Amino acid sequence: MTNSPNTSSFVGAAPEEMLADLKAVGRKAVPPDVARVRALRDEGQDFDRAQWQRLVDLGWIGLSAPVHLGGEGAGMDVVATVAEVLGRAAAPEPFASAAVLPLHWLAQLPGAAEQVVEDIVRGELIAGPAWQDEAGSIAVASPSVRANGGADAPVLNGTAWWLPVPDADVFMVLAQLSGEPVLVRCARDQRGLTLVPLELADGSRSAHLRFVDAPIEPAAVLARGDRVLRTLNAAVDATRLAVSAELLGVMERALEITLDHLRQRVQFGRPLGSFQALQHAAVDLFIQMRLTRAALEGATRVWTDPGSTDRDRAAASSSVKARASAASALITTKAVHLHGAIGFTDEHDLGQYVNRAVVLGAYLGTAHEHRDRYQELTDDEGLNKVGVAQ
Amino acid sequence: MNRYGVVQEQDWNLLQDAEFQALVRAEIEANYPEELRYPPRRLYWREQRVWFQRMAEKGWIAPSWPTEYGGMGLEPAKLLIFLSEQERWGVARFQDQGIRMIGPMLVNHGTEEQRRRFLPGILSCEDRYCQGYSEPEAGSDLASLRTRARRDGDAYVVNGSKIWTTMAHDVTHIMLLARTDPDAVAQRGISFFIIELSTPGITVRPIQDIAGHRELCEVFFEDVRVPVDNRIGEENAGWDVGKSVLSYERVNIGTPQMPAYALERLQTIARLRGMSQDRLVKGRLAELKLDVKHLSDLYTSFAAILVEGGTPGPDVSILKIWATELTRRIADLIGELAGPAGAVKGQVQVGDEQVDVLDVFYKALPSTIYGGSNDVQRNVIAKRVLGLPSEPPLRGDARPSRTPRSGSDA
Repeated sequence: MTNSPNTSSFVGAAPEEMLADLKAVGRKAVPPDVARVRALRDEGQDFDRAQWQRLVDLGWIGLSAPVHLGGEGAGMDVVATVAEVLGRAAAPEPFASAAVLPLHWLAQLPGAAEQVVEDIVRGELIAGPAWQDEAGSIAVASPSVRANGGADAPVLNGTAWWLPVPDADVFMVLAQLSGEPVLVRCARDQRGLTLVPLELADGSRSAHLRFVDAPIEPAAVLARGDRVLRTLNAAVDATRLAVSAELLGVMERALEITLDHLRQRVQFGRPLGSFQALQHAAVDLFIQMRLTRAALEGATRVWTDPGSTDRDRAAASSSVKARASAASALITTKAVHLHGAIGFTDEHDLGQYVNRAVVLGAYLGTAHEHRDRYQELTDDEGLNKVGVAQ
Repeated sequence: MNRYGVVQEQDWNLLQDAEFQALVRAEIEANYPEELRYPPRRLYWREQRVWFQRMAEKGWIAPSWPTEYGGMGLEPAKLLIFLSEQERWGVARFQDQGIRMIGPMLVNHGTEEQRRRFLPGILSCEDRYCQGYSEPEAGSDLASLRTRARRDGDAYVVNGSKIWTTMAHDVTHIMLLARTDPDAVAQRGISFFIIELSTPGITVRPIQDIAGHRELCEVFFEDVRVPVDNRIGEENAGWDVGKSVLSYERVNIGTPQMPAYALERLQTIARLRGMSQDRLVKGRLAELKLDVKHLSDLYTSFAAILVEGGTPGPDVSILKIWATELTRRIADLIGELAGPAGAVKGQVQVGDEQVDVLDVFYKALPSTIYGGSNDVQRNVIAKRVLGLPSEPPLRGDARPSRTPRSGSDA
């Protein structure tokens, strides 16, 4: 734990009008389109590469990358605005896990990793970050993949769990080599690598990467040393904020669909929304949505504050992820209830938002885990209990 | 020096947050009377006047008002620091509705003459206000109010009664909603007045509550003559003035102050009872801590509107709902953790310290009612923010259809 200045490069707050414009333009460019998502799922695709390219062309994929590497050098307020638009659209494209996370991680590792950043920004490479342990621990303490055989002929053994983008072109694997953390670039067809896929609730997949005596080129080790872990932890916290913003978009759209239903659906000779019991239920969901928005604004204020430390940022990300995970679960499930049986059908758009909330709510830490972490990060007696980058 | 005679030593917003915090903390710790920390009931003015007069002389009495009207002009982040530092030290609140409601209301609805007349007294604390809204037959259904103000030359003659007027027996002025046109549709025939409680014909009677305190009052008006100049806004346009006052009130009730105080009490009692490290208790403490934190985040967005001199929209009710129900949840957990001490009135020994375990309970309990009950707040949000349809009128409800009602007591 540290009170030293932040690990990622600092970007200050964008003007409010600029963010509002971006949101308006973004909502037009990527409107809610559940039919598209359903079609992709039925074809067995996690996401659409052509749509990814459109996001590249919009400049969104490269938002988090510094300008000198071809990116936009944008702050987390801008990243959050885009993530919220994508969440609202139920877009399955892995913006958080394949743009925000690898860019925040790799851009801070000068050397070979920068090339990967440039390729991601140009849309030429989709890189899947593979770093989690079996428990899905909220902080990365030590890599679960080990490299042995020495620096000249490293061989990987072990498993990187819960990889969110199994379709990636390459994997960015966190491993342990000669007692220090390293970042290894690993191709899909790597000898000795097996992907164990998992089907997720929203139709996308995740995978465990199992390495058994997988030989890698020495040049595939892109970075080494404690900074690999430190920058990864900071990048994961940035990603948590982006995922929270995506969840805000998810819950906002689910609530919108539900309010439309309450206004239009007539039972007992009255619109459902005229029943006070249902009005009050809807208000409670609205409150949770507004709390999430406020928590997100609070967290981005910390991230765009030049005086904030890694610890401040970690607490801010845990704060908003705890709220976003819990609120999106509450809003989307209660939305199904307010719809009645139609809300439980696959043909209704709402279901995709429910399933998206399930997946994103669990990704990078549940509400429970983040409440605990926030408590420890903001409690002086809890110093050093949580493994945020040293 | 501005026209209200208040000088700010500097532009507080230019300071770093940490600098400003240190400055506020130093002032409070050095000067706030030790015996008044964490008072379990509202204090009478005579008990706390020294501190608040000091604040007034320092120019710190109206932190959220713009500087041109004699306030500190604090931006939301600074305002939160200012409030939370008081919280941290257990600083009492005085009957500060003049600061929190009348000032902003006069800025928006008053005349220049009225601002010059009323603001200086509020800033010096010589004039302190209570809120004459609710009546025996008009609580949450505030628009049913019956107190009459009949025009008679250059004055109005007021007859009727108000209830749940907090600390009316300890303040100097009352803000009053009264009916000036009995024939108009409910909300349209109401006007807003400021009245000195020393005016002949006014009687105040305190009411004892279940905590044993005498803070609530009834106020009776019998042929009370009120100068026309004391009417704020146009005749019969008082409903909108009253509503804007209520929206300030909802921001005020929605500050993180009460829940933050309750959380601090909860953490203390958990520690004194040796339960802070209990796995289940820890989880609940962490959840409540974030509930308070996100209230702060939410408050910040509404405070920004106040600091710019605006009036919040109807969505401000979410602050009041969340803050009060959160405090209730904290009170519940305090009760669960306190054990037998949770039944003791006043100070009781818990572990190494004396604490008033029931304090938060009695503070939280009425909070979901006053300022407009939370159920009415939810009605307002459902219709005016979420755009949900109105309930069909009850058969036999002869009153004309209305915009959503919103009530208040404080």
